[in-house]
Amino acid sequence: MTVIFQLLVVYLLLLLLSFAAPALHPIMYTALFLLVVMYVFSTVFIPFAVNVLSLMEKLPAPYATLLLVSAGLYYVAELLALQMKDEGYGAFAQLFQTVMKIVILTLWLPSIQKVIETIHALIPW
Amino acid sequence: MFLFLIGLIHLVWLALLIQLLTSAEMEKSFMPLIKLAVGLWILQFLLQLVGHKW
Amino acid sequence: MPDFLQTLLADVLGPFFLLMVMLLLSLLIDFFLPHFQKWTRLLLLIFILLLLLEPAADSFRQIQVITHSIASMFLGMYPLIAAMVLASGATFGVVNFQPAMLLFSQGAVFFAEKFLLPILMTALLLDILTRLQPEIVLTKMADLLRTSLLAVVSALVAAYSIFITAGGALTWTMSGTLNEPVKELIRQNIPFIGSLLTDTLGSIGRYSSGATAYLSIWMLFSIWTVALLPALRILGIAFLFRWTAAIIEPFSQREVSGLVDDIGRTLFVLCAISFLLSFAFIYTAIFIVTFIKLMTIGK
Repeated sequence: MTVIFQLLVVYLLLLLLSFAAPALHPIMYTALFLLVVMYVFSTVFIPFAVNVLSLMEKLPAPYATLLLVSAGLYYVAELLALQMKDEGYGAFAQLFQTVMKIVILTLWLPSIQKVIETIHALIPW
Repeated sequence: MFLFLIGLIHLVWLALLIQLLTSAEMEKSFMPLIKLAVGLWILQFLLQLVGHKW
Repeated sequence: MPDFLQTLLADVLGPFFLLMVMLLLSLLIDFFLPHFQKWTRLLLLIFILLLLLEPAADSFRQIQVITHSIASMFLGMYPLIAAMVLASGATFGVVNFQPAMLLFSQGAVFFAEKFLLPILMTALLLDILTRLQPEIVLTKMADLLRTSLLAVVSALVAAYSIFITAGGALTWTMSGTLNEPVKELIRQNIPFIGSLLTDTLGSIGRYSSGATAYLSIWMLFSIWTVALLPALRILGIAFLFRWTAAIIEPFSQREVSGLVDDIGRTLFVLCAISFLLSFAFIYTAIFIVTFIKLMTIGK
């Protein structure tokens, strides 16, 4: 709960910065945003994910972890892409998101390999 | 027959990858292209089947 | 019997419960990231294909092995049987076993191995491909393959029944009044193959009651069990798949429950094929044993 208040305080700080030092605003915004993301991740997201994972310890394969990690990576990519779009670098944001999607797919590549092999095994001819 | 099925699998897999990696507008313009590829693959297989008989 | 049930429950039900847990997790993620849904769908499908396909692929392989062994057994013994038939001569007419029927059942087994099973697997493959990428729709082809397979199998079983009644085997001696409600129950509740099942069982029953004159009940029963056990197991697994699809349908994505449902339907057709095969096996086994007994009695 306190994290929400902390986020609001940071937001007010950003508004103040945009008023106080408009030239430096982009880089201050980006740096502050990255810091806040890392902080919120370590205090809120990671414990929550660990909590959820502890509910699913019975799963035999690392699928639950993979799913949560992929969701987390996707979310980070979306956040940072939106931040880049805020500063006016939309193309960069798109590139960033696509690269992150490729990273997620790379994580899943071994399982995908196994699925293709299973499907191949079904072919009788 | 085997080759046909493997080709079909790979085409569908490629379509899935493209759908995942791209954004919405790009996917909309790419889907007809992939359907065209699948259609060509199926048709050439059928023509091959018929061609063998004659 | 109990440990057969136990192994069935252990390695078939396990993945289903895991599927439910994975579904709940993916629902949670969908709540947070609606744009991530395409990925969640793919990941769930991968999960299903890797874990849940195991019992289904197992059944397929089992049927393939059984078919192959029955086919090779028949092939090996056919010259012997032909020689025995020639040697015995008149004893044949007494029990009314038709050699044409034997040839027919062998032909059915070969047909199943070379033709029916590959077509079924192709149908399953097309279904999986459609579920993976819903925009490339292959369902009509898969359904066409499945329903035509079912039609062929039911035609073959109908041909069996006609052969049997034309061969003049003795009628089913159990009281008809007890039989009919059970048959109706089966026919109503098991989709597609209910009538197939009852007709097959009826023909098997009619047929073996003629053979009880020469075989002990125990041997008959054991032949029945050996032949019907894999078919019943596949029936159980098929039901399990369909029930799971029905249960997860309200809260899962369409493709996920659709895939499980498709696998269930394919397994139903596989069950029908396996009934066909078990009938062929029962027929030939009873034929051979009765023949040997007749030969020894005659001498």
